Amino acid sequence: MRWLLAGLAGVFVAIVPYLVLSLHSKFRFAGKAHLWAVIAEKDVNMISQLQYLPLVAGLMLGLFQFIPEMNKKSFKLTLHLPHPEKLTVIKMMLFGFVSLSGIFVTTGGLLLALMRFSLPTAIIGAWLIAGLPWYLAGLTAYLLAAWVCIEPSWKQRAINGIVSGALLAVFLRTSGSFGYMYFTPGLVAVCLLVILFPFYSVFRFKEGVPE
Amino acid sequence: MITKNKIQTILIVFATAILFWILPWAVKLGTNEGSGYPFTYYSCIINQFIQTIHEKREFKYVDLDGNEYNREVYDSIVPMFNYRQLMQDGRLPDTINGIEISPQILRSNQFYFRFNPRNYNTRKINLYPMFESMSGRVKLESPDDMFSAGNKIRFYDAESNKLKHKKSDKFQTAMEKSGFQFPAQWISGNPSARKPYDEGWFMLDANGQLYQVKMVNGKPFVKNTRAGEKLNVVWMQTIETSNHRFYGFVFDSEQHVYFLSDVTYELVKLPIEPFDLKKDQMLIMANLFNWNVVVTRDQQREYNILDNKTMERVDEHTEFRKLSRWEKIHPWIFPFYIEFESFKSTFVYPRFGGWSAKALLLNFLIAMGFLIYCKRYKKLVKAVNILFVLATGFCGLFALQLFKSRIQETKNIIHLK
Repeated sequence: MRWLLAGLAGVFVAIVPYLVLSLHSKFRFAGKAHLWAVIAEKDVNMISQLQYLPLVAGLMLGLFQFIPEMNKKSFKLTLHLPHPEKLTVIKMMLFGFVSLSGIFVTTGGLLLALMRFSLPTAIIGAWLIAGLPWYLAGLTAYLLAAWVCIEPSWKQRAINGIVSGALLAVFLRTSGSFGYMYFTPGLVAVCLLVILFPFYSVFRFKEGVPE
Repeated sequence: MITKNKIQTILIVFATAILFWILPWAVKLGTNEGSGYPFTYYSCIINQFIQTIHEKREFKYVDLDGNEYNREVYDSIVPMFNYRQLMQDGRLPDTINGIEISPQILRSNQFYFRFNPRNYNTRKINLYPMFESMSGRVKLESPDDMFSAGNKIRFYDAESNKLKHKKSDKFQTAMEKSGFQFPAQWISGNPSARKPYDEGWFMLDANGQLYQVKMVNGKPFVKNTRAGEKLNVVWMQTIETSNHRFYGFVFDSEQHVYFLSDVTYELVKLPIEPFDLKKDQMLIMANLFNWNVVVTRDQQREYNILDNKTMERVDEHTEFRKLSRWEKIHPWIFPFYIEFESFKSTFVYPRFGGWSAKALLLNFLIAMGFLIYCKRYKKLVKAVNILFVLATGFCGLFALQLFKSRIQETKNIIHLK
């Protein structure tokens, strides 16, 4: 788990210089003034390569954290420990949620701070607004992966997977800068509500729903 | 208190909402058709609308009386649209309707203007180029800085990414002197350097006054168009025409459309039906004699022919659209549907549409079928579930089945510590 987190953090850290160098390379080829004009006129997002990365990170972390828990039956054992079950599950999810948020906020902030040296606030602000749904998709993907993994029945697991896929598609409908401007609070609300989903599987797990 | 039932309810609501998005989308994808409006242009020779109809892999040219023309005749009776073909064939007349014509005269009076609701229902990055309007060069040259206008106008040097204090202050002072009240509500103009000439930017100030702001010989040129004193300006879209007749089209809160005359800033109202810039599309195909103002609404397309000089409406025609298969089907199967994207806006958010009471008939049958099934197989069913299916139809039923509790689970109530 530690290695996975370090790997994810490494990828997110490595993409920062890649995107900054790529931007500067484009500056050298096209000229700063021209590139600014193209970005503003055509709404070109030079960090759009990031769009699916938080989603993949969230899914990987969720699967790598909860699949071993289920396979080794350690989750079952954990729920039998003399420790409040809700708190146990919350702590498990909080670990991934906070770790992912930490990686996202640190590397996202670093990227925008470095780009701020060569781009005006108007462009940085637009890209920040564009990037928020991608990171929210990553956090939601982590929670949904936990929901799917904890589910005891394979049939229900498949259903949860399909519903999760459809729900995640809502976060990635456009890469336009201001496309999600009005719906970002809605996406935050969806992400927060999804925290409850894994508890549904925990209830079913406790009830002894057969696999 | 987190209980299984509460989470189950949330899951069912989420699943139902997702199904109301995905299922209508899939049905629409399989049944939707194009609008099918034929291309229509007004003939200044026979003063009649001529339509180009694509039928059996062939184009037919017919007027509204049903008279059919071959391609050569069509070219000659619609000379304003086909003048280049007529020139190539050596058939371009010297005069039309007693007016001398030449390719140059025709070109200078011709323009195409398109307005799509997406032009209005969008947001752009607040960064624009201020071109030198009187550079003396044939082509416009891109500036090495860009400006943003919010609470103040600010120019940023692209090379250093630093604020240009002197230039910013110069424009700020000029705008304040002209009475411009910050913050600017919106900015409209053409940011492309590939335009024939530059007329700068039109900005609506905090008081609803429309200003023209441009740079002439390195100095700010700021002028109140006074359009805001005559009408409640909502939006403007600029255009560069060869004859420099006007700056662009102004839309007001009364849903009227005007053009803003060059230099004098005189507003000339287009005699067309109210235009909703949040929903309707507009295409203007102008020529020496007429403007073909084509307004496309949800169910119809209106063709307004305006005299190029007097701007009076000389003819009109409305074409009604046949309902697509999707439009015929959805009211019977979905009481409503959810869409996240729209052709009329660049914003993504859930839009509830297609409300229909007709679907309640199918919902009733589904709910009755569900009730009979539960009774026959002695399955426990709550009244609230039946009501839910009655309201949401098969989307709700499907969602209930996805997250149903088995009898032995519901008997054994578990509480998490």
